Amino acid sequence: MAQIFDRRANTLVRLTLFVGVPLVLAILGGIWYLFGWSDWHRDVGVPVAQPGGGFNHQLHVGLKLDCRYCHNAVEVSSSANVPPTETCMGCHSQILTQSEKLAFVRESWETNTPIQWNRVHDLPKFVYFNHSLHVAKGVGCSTCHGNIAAMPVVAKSKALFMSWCLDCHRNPEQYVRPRDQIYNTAWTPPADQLAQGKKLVEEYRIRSADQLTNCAICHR
Amino acid sequence: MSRITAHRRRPTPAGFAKFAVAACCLLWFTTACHLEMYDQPKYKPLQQSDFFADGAAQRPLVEHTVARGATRLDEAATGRVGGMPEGAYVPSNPLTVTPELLSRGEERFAIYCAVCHGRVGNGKGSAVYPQFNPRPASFYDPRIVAMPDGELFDVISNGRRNMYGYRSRIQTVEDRWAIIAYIRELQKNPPAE
Ligand code: HEC
Ligand code: HEC
Ligand code: HEC
Ligand code: HEC
Ligand code: HEC
Ligand code: HEC
Repeated sequence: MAQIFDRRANTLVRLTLFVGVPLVLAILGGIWYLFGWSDWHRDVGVPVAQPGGGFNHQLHVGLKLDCRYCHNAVEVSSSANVPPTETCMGCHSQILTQSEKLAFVRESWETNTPIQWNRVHDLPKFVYFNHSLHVAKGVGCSTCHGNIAAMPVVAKSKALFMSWCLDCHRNPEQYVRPRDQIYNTAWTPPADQLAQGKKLVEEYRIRSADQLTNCAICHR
Repeated sequence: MSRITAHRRRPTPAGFAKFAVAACCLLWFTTACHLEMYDQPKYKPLQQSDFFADGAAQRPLVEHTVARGATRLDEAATGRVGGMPEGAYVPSNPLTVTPELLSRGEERFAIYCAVCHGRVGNGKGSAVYPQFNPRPASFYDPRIVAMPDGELFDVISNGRRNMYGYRSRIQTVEDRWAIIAYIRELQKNPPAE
């Protein structure tokens, strides 16, 4: 009987086994890895739908409302709260009282049940984060959340990877800003940010990279 | 007696390669096992809960709850003479007015009052004021200039008519008195209309 495979087939089999298969695996693995680290995978820039007429930051911040008018706990607590219905009603008991878009706010007020906003930023529960500390040490809202004042519907502007937290904890001077600019979401770093930042890091007494990359501060 | 020697196979490069490939394939199964830690059975502030009727994990305080050790019945805490709940309004700021208090007041005023009452306190704040009926008050109104400080404190804390109270947002009484001190400072120099 004639041989089905000639001798060259052996090389072909070896080639597929030791080069082809690892290559395909590597490519698949690479795609998988890049996918995991991509902003796309984390829904960065994708507006999150909210109940009812939603809430428009662009419109309201455009009325010269300070972030703290609604997120009033941001300076004193780990969580930057989302406002209770009462905060909305302070204006909307007078403004657009018949609007369809605000029916969900009035209903929440009348039935005394909270509005269920959908979370946009959500760290895993094994991570501890604290707003008041960052805000007190010169990290502005827009460094982490982007220009909220220009967003009709809030979307994430950062994927919230651990490497991102660590990048700043190692070199905060790239990002820190003067205290009176914290709530200015349109702030852009000056040309000499590094020099300015170094001064501010000293002024705010921000601790060393050693201490700020200790696993236990975020995974406690 | 015969000795049984274990035939141990020495690892060959090919064997090792096979092992490595198999191990890599197994690694695939170790992913996605960690979701329990991402979503632990604990609540973050303001999280949703199926357990309570209103759907919120965070429970409202029972009315009139006072944190232990936080009872304050002095004039600064109530704005009333002698700290009595229904007493007369205190005529003037119980805190000492310092430059720090004033600049704190200016900052808080800009956050919480200026949208409606205006940066200068004339009752014309950003785009909001025309839609109110009655309009937000001007702080240069002689009636408000003559108000005792304790009454201003009551307006900020509990609201008045169409204005909602700010007790829950301006949580420390010191901040409320700082705002009052700043309003008094504003009233000394009425803007030219
Ligand atoms: C009038 C009240 C109001 C003001 C002022 C306001 N916000 Fe908000 N904010 C809300 C409400 C309500 C939500 C929840 C709905 C949503 O996510 O769109 C929210 C959501 C957010 C979120 C997303 C939270 C999440 O789910 O992860 C961020 C970030 C945020 N606000 C930042 C800001 C910043 C920065 C400012 C100041 C420039 C600001 N907000 C001013 C009411 C306000
Ligand atoms: C300082 C006053 C103020 C507060 C507080 C406020 N709003 Fe508004 N809101 C306004 C004004 C002014 C408008 C625009 C009215 C108009 O179009 O004439 C508006 C418009 C809206 C609209 C209609 C938007 C549209 O696209 O037409 C919605 C929905 C709304 N607000 C929701 C909220 C919610 C939810 C809250 C509470 C988190 C809130 N607002 C708090 C002043 C306020
Ligand atoms: C150092 C980065 C950083 C800065 C600065 C920052 N935030 Fe956040 N913010 C986050 C992260 C991370 C989360 C998600 C927290 C979580 O999931 O527990 C978040 C969540 C929020 C939320 C949702 C509620 C909550 O606390 O979970 C709001 C609202 C918010 N931020 C508003 C603000 C405002 C307003 C400012 C500016 C005063 C600000 N943030 C500054 C990183 C930041
Ligand atoms: C843009 C800069 C920046 C980013 C981004 C940032 N941080 Fe920070 N973080 C700081 C600074 C500055 C401090 C204050 C250090 C100090 O007080 O010495 C700090 C402090 C902290 C602390 C307190 C440490 C302690 O000892 O109590 C925690 C926890 C923390 N950060 C968590 C996070 C997490 C989690 C993230 C990512 C989601 C993050 N940070 C992203 C700048 C940043
Ligand atoms: C500045 C805060 C911070 C510090 C310091 C930090 N982490 Fe993290 N870590 C995070 C955040 C935020 C996440 C969640 C990232 C995400 O959602 O992808 C995380 C996630 C993780 C994960 C899970 C990764 C995954 O894909 O499931 C591990 C493991 C981890 N960290 C280990 C460590 C170790 C070990 C250290 C000390 C060398 C450390 N972390 C220090 C913020 C921090
Ligand atoms: C959402 C808009 C709004 C905000 C913000 C606001 N007010 Fe008012 N305020 C009003 C309106 C409307 C009135 C008129 C109420 C009426 O006569 O029915 C008023 C009335 C007043 C009065 C006069 C009360 C009287 O007896 O006539 C004082 C004093 C006052 N506000 C102080 C403040 C202070 C201090 C702040 C900041 C902490 C503040 N308001 C924030 C809307 C607002």
